[in-house]
Amino acid sequence: MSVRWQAGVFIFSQNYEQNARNDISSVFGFFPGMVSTSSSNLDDWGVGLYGQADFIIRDKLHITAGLRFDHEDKEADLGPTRALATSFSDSYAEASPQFSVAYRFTPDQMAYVSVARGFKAGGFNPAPTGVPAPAGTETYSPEHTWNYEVGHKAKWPGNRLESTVALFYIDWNDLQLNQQIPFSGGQYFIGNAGAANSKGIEFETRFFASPWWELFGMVGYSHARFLGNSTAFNANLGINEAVGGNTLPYTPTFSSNVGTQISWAPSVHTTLYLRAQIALSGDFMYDASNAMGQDRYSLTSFRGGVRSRHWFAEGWIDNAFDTHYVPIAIPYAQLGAPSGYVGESGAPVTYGARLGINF
Amino acid sequence: MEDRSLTDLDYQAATLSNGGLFAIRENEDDQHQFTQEFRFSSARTRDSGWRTP
Repeated sequence: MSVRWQAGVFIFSQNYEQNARNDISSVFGFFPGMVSTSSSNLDDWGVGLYGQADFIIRDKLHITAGLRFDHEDKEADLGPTRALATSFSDSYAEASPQFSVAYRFTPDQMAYVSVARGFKAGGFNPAPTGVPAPAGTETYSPEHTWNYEVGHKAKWPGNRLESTVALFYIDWNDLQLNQQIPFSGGQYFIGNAGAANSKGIEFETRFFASPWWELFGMVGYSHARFLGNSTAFNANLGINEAVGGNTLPYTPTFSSNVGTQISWAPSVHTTLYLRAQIALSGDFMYDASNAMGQDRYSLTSFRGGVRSRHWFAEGWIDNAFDTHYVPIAIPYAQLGAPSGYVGESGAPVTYGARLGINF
Repeated sequence: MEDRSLTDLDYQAATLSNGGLFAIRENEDDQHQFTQEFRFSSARTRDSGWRTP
């Protein structure tokens, strides 16, 4: 048996200061003009200590155990102006273990199982401008996860085929969720939504059909849901509502990526290549209310060129079939968006070329 | 549940040429960050080629 170990210390400090002012004109004399301000000063420092030991038995069995300690101190001055700010402070500490067992059946095949505890410290939200922060949202609590994974990695005989398969399960407690303050026009706070879990499977493969032709692909499926008593702000309705059973925002049910690359070397120093790839995204939701989402879509890209020892030339097309999709959107009904959301479109068809020299 | 492949982008902001209506936001941000990490490990005997998770 042999033992390998690793240990480390991680320290950080961070300061964030924001002073904002909204100035909105009178609307034809019906409503008075309005000036509102906010001031936020957030100070944060932390230290992490970790250690990990890897016990290797007969070259085949790897047993790994690790532990990480985190400590974070946070202070915040929040208010309409610096002079009128209220001071908050808190500290967060946690010990997070991790454990894994891996077995190598052959030099080219291994299976593993792992369990790890995850931790994100709590903290304070910057003061919003022009609207009051909903009661209790100045602070948020730490988030905890348990992550479980089982997987298998292999290179198959002849080394022409590689495969990876992994099953995962993530269990969240006090999930920290970005939520919009009602009537705020897109100002967000982090709030603990409750519990959630995500389970899924990922499969990835590479196949070398010949020395000049490679095929690759991955497909993932995940089922990510808020659990029982979870709640989140619905900015379009202005209420904190139950979201148990809803899908986690921006989490596609499935995602996939398939492609191929051919390359040819007419001389020792020169390679010509052509690559095509299709990325598929399943449908996903824009926020915890699940009121609006993006349908599934695909993006195709092509890339081709020539590379030599001292120069290269490459052309590329992204989103080749000009798929129209909206990868991000926020609730905006109270400020007049007819659909209830304002989104930002993904990039349309984009193409370019690169030329370069190496020296 | 309502799904749409297109979401509105067409909200109108008030401008000075819009009957004198305006909405102005001034925002000053200042951020400083410092991180440092020290790592220690046992002597590496050989590379197995596999990383355990």
